Amino acid sequence: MSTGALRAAALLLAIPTLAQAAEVAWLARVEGATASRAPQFQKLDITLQSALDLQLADEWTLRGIARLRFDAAGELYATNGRAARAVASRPAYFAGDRGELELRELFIDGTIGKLRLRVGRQQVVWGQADGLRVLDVVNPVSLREFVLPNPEDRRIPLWTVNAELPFAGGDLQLLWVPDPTVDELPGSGHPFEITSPLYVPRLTATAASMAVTVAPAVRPRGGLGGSDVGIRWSRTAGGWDLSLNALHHYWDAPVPYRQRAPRAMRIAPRYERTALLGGSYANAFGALTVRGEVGLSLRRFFLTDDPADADGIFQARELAHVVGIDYTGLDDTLLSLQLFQSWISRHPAGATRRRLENQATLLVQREALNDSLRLRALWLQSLDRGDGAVQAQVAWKWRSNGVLTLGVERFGGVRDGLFGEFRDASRVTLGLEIGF
Amino acid sequence: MNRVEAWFRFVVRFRIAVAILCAASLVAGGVGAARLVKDTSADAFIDPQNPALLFRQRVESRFGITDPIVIAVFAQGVPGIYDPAVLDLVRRLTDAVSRLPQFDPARTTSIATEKWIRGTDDGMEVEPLLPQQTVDRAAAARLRAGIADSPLYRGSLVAADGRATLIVAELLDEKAASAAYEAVVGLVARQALPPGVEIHVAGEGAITGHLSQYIDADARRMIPVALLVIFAVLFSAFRTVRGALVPMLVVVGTVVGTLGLMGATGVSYFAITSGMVVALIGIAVADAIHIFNDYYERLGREPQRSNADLVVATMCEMLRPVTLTTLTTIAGFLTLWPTNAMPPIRWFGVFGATGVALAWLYTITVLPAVLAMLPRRTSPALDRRNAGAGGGTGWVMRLGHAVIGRPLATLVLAAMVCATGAAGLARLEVDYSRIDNFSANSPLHRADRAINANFQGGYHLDVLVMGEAEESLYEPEVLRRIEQLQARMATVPGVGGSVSIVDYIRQMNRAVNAGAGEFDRLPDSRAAVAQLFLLYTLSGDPTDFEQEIDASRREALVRFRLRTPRWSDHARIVGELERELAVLFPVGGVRAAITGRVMVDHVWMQGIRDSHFASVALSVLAVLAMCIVLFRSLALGLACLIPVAVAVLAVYAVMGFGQVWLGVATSMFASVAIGLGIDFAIHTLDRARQLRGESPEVRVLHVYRSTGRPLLFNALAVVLGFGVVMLSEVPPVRQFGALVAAGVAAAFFGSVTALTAAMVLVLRRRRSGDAAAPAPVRVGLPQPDRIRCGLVLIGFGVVMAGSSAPTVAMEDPASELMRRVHARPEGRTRSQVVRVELTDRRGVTRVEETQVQRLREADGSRRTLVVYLAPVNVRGTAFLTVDHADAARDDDQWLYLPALRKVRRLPAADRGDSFFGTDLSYEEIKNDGRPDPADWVFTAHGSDRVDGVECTLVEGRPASERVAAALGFSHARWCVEATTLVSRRSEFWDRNGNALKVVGTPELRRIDGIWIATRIVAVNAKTGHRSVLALRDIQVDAPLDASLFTQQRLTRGP
Repeated sequence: MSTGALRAAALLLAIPTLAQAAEVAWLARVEGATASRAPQFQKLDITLQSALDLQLADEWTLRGIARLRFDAAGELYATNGRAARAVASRPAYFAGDRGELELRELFIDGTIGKLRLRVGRQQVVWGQADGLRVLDVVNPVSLREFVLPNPEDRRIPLWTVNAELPFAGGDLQLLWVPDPTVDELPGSGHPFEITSPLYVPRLTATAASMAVTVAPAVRPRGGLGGSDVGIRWSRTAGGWDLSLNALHHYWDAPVPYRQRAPRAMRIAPRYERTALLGGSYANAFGALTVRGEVGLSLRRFFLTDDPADADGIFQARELAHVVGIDYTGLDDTLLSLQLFQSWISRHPAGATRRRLENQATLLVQREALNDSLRLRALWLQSLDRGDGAVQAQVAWKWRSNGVLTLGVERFGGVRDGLFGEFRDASRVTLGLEIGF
Repeated sequence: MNRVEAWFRFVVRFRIAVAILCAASLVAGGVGAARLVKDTSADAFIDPQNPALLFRQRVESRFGITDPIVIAVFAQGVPGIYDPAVLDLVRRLTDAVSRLPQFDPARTTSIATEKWIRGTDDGMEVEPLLPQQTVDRAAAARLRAGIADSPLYRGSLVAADGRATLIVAELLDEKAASAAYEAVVGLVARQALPPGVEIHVAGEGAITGHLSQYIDADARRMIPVALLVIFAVLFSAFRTVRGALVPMLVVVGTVVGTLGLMGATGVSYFAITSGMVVALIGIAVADAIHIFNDYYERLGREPQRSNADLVVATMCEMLRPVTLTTLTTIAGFLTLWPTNAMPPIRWFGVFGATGVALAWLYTITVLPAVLAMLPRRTSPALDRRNAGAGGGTGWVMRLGHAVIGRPLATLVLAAMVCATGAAGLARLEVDYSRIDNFSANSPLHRADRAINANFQGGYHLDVLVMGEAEESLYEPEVLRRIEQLQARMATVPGVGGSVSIVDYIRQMNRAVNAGAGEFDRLPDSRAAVAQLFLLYTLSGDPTDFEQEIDASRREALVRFRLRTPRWSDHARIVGELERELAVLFPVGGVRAAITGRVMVDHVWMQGIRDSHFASVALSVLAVLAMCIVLFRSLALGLACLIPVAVAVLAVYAVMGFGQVWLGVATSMFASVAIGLGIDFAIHTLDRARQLRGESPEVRVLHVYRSTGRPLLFNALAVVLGFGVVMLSEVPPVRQFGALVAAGVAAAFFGSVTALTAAMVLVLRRRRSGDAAAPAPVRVGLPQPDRIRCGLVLIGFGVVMAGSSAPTVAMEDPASELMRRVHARPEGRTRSQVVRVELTDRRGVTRVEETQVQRLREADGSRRTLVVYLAPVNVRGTAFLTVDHADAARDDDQWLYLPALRKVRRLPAADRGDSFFGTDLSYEEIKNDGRPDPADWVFTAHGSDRVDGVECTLVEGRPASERVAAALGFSHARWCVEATTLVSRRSEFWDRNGNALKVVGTPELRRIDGIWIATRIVAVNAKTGHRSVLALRDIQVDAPLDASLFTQQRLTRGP
């Protein structure tokens, strides 16, 4: 069992003894999903989570969240979770990796003069967009269920030193992330295995007859030299919430370099460093909120099908932005539309992505019956390939601390697309959550 | 056989049954349409609960004042109207008019009915201006003296130069205005006029009442001509009777069905419903033309196939574009519902969408059924076309070659047209003048001009002055304020004069003081005013002032006469009046409200001005969203907007350069242009998608060849059909024709020039790009899935639209007690834990616990931080609001959701919005239950006991319409405990006057000298919802740092 897991277990066990001195909250959740094309369970997660808030001193608190999860259906556990995470971030696995005990958060939070410090395992979120990652790249994500779970559950917390202090009428945030954990990716045969040629090399007709081997990924170094560092300055001016962001970091998805040998092909994934420069904005006008963010990644790597290309990868700068409009003019209703665009500085022959990629999301959410019923529909759509996903959910808060959910998550469109590749993973979900 | 083909085979097989069903639906539609109630009144455009309308109804009931019909007698001779023959005519006419069944004899005024208030040795004498017996020269001279002695009649009843006088007749029932106008005109025509005498009949009653009939009569003449022209164009398109008649059948079914549904659901036929009918005709014709064109082409290509097979094949081919146009147009129409407050416009959207759906239904049922019933016959027009001659194809193809040859130049030209439209848009004026609905040469228009030139004006803006107690209006200070109001407004351009009880009191005061000029003023005491009224009743009729003041002397009417008919002038004058009223009233518990026909018109015109462009923008966005969904492409969605943009801008160009004002009817034409424009775009784009893989030129030429001709004839049918109504003499009918023609012509040209040119350029560019890299295969969802998605979107739109409702309420003043309540100290900072229990009518209870901290800063702004402590599921959710000292500036609000780990900017909540699902509003939470005196007009209502505590009962009404709309109340009542200055029970009524909620404060605590309600119980009377707030751990003026109230703090959790 890793040290992170030990700490998680210790925290979970220590909670009852600390309960007298701290605020403790528990959450139990059962979530099931059955694929619409197959009657058996795709997912049956049983989760117990405890959160601890402990006042250490004036202005200093300790916060921890430990999560125990067991995948009873056994369809979703096959990921590269062990390899993706740094040792200190790795959960304790049990029952053949189907169960995990993870420290989701553990940090101390306090102030020294005007400096605010948050040190420990935490999530840091940048930007104004929901679900679409332009600036929200500080933490890696788990793609165990692609983009379907809550962002909170998707993001993998990292050991981070997070300092904030007032500066130039705004707030300056400095980040040091020595934790080299990267995205958790589903393995072969997993319902959400990523196969899109946008991210995975496609075998050409000649290569189809070759033996293909995949080498272990060359992971970020971690430690002092391999740390991610970031800086953000944010302030409100003229009614606008503005931020400027810069992050020097490893891109959390591997670049699958192709290495050719006679009658064989080797895929050698490697995580590459990049730098992100960007900013965000938001303001409200009547019932409308306009928000957006823009980011320039100076060094990104993309796939090409060009047989003449030595490694199947080309490098380019990526300029991406999201603009979103939220409308709350209808009672108890939120309408939110986002447009995401990504443009790359080079587009050689055979590139598997377009030079300009467009995606849109539409969220409609409505509360009803004394806010005990929430209807939510989220539509994610690639505007270039005609593939997309719809996530519709009815959540019934049958008591103050109990929620019952029923949902449909459907993917459609071309199989080569980011969403269309999961057409067979479309599913119906049912969940029960109780807090105590 | 797929489901679509199976459906059309079913229709063709059971064609007789389908035809019978169609006939039955037509009959049912006809029955429904017969029940349709016409409501072309201006009042229909305003919410029935709007204060301006409610006050106007109050004025009608209290003072009996309606929109009058005015008879103006002009005498050009030397003595003017003071000629016995003229005076005799006036008296005869007055008698005759008051005997007409449509008029109230007691409220017909002229020099033959009005009194001369003059002083005598004994005090005051009130006698008729004109004697009852025969009028002679002496009587005329006496009248001249009486008018000279009575300033209140000069300019209002008799022209300043003595050459004209008015007979003003109030209608018993405004709905009978048109009949009354006709009766008066007939009466006047029967009079033998003395030489040099002219009579004009006008007035707001005449204009209002006659307007709808006047327009209808002309429209009835023109619309059949329009339908004939459409028929002729259809016939020339196909040279077959069926090619002209069957589309007309779809048109008739659509229009009758839609009107039938309106009638069945009790929705009235409004003035703008005609615009909807035109849009439906255009859309229904379009679908049918495209289907017929495809059918005849198919017939020429595949002569061996059976007629049934041909019909089925045609319908299978055309179902897709017809359905796509239907869905997009429905989306465009439906946006009118949530973006407008005016019932006619909202219903325009709903039934426009219904009609489009009906047109689709008829097109996929009746049209194939009828076609299958008829024997197979080719179209001579299309035969010739196949031979390469005539039929419009040649012209269309030449146009196509020209566009393909010079796509960039075409786009530049289209851009110039759009720029012209934009320039027209810049010149667009929002205005309205009811009299300009009539031709300038019409008798009514001439009469209106004559009356406005010679009298104080024919348009009425009223101020209702309301006191609390009987004889409130005897108070000299109140009367002086009214006098000042009249004097100040007299200097405003456009205001011709005014009349109020003050004019009569001054006249009486002067009369009892031997007519001395220095006594032409208000008396100094209540007693003196009361005595003047008493003196009047000794010789005059006590009901003589009933149009100026009520019998209890509690309410009075000040009537301003305006010379200008235009809304833009009225808006300026109303603005001035509002400013003056804010300065002069309330005084001594007496308040004032603006009403009258001018005010009512002003309110709904404001609505049009404020909502039009947002409404059009949202329609365009809805259409865009639907196109993106249906085509699964942002680029194609944007392409659809090209003809729409051209059409809308063309409509604005015609309006801007043709000096057509943006008014109630014309505001609808942008929607009509969008509805028709998108049809053209979708037919064009759909055809272009058919030949994927071909060269750009081949694909675009295919568009012209396959759909150019039907588009042309579709445009010709509608443009020529409605173009003929431009020949009308009636300005609105003329404008109607011009706008429809401009919109449809522009949509057509936008589709076959700008859109196709853009397609050529994009396809060429893509092709050159493709040469370098193969384009990825585009595989969208199957077509039925797309259509289902569209239907789901529309369904969602309907649900969402149905959930929004505009709110408006009324106004009132303030009192000393409530000022003290408002000034009750709250502390500079406050920190507390609030337990909230929310229970709905079913007894389901939700419990939440929050930490609330508040800081009032030195500049008066307030920052409030709410952090959820429980339940666990929402723990950590935090809300920060900054309420700026500048009331005009919206609050800034942020929400932190732990599930997102992100701070989200929120729109400022409306003051009346529910605070986090409780039965308390943001305003109540923000003000700690202390109503702001600036928002309310308070009146004392005695005392009451709440939970054994003696309280003062205070009633409040919102101080302005804006405040009422923001708060959502018509009035409220507070039971204020004198010692604590806390309202122990607050009751609120919604804008309809229904009990809304009761807020009680059963428990109070005094903490650091400040009274705080520690338990608040709010119960919503309408929903049965109940909120109980229990406060604990309260700290007042504890040190709270400003850094607590920042976005960064939100993320730190409890």
